[in-house]
Amino acid sequence: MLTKIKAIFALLAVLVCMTSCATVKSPLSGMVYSDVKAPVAVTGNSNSTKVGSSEATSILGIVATGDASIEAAAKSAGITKIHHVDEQSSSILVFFAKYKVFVYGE
Amino acid sequence: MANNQLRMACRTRHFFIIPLLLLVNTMNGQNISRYYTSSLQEKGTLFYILPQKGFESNNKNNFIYDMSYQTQNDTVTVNFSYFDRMNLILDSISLSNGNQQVSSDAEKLYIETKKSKWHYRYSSKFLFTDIASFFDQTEPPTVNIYYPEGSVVLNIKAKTWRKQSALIKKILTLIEYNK
Repeated sequence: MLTKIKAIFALLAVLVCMTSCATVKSPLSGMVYSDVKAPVAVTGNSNSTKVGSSEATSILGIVATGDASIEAAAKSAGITKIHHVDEQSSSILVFFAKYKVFVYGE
Repeated sequence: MANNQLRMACRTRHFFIIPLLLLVNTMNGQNISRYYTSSLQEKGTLFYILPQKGFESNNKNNFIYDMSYQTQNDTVTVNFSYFDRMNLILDSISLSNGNQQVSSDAEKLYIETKKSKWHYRYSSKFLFTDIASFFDQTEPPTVNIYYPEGSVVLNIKAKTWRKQSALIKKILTLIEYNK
C-alpha cells in the first residue's frame, strides 16, 4: 500500500515538474493534447486576398526557436495592408509545442 | 505481493499508453483542418494551405511552399522559400506533371540570410486546374526553379509525396465543393 502511494506521488511530482516544459500561449490549455485557434487583432482595412504565416516551436521547454511575429507572417506573403490576424497554438503532452500566426491582408 | 506489483505495473502502463494512442490517432488520421485555413471574404472564400516541406535539391537545399486561393479566382498563389549557398536571382518556376510542364514567373518577395544560406522568398501564380493535376499524380514529380544561368531541380521522396499529395488533394477537393 505504501509503495502504491509512493508511486502515485512520484508520478504526480513528475507531472507537476513537466507542466512547465513545452508550454505555449493559448486562450485554452489541454494537458495531453491541444490545438486551438484564436483571434489576435482586426483592423479597419476592408479586404484580404493574401495570407501569410509564421511560427515558433518549443521542444521539451529546453529549446525554443522561430519567428512567430506578425511582421514575419505579413512579409512571407508580401502583405502591406493587414485585415486581421489569427493565432494557432498546439501542444502534445509536455514534449512539443508550436505557435503559429496567420496574417490576412493585401 | 507479486499480484499487487503486477496490477500497479499495468496501471502505470495505461497511464502512458492512453496519451500515446491519442497522439497516434491525431497524427495518422487525415485531419486536414490542421493544414489549411479558410476566411470568408466579400469575393468568395480565401483558402490557405499551410507551408509544406519535402522537395529538395541534390545538394539538400530545402524548398518550402504554401498556397492561397480565393474561390472566385482561377489562379492559385504559390509562395515559396528556397535555401541555397549560391547567389541566385530566380526568374521562374515550373511544375512537372508527367510529360507536361507548367511554368510561372517568380516574383521576389524578399531575400534574407538564414545561418550560412540565402533564404530566397518568391511568389508565383498557377491555374487551379494545373495545381489540381500536379497533385493528382502518383509518381513523385519534380519542381524546377530557374535563374538566368541555369536551373535547380527539386525532387521529393516517394513516401513523402504519397502523404503530401493525398493531403493536398483532399484540401483541393474541399475547395472545389466550396466554389
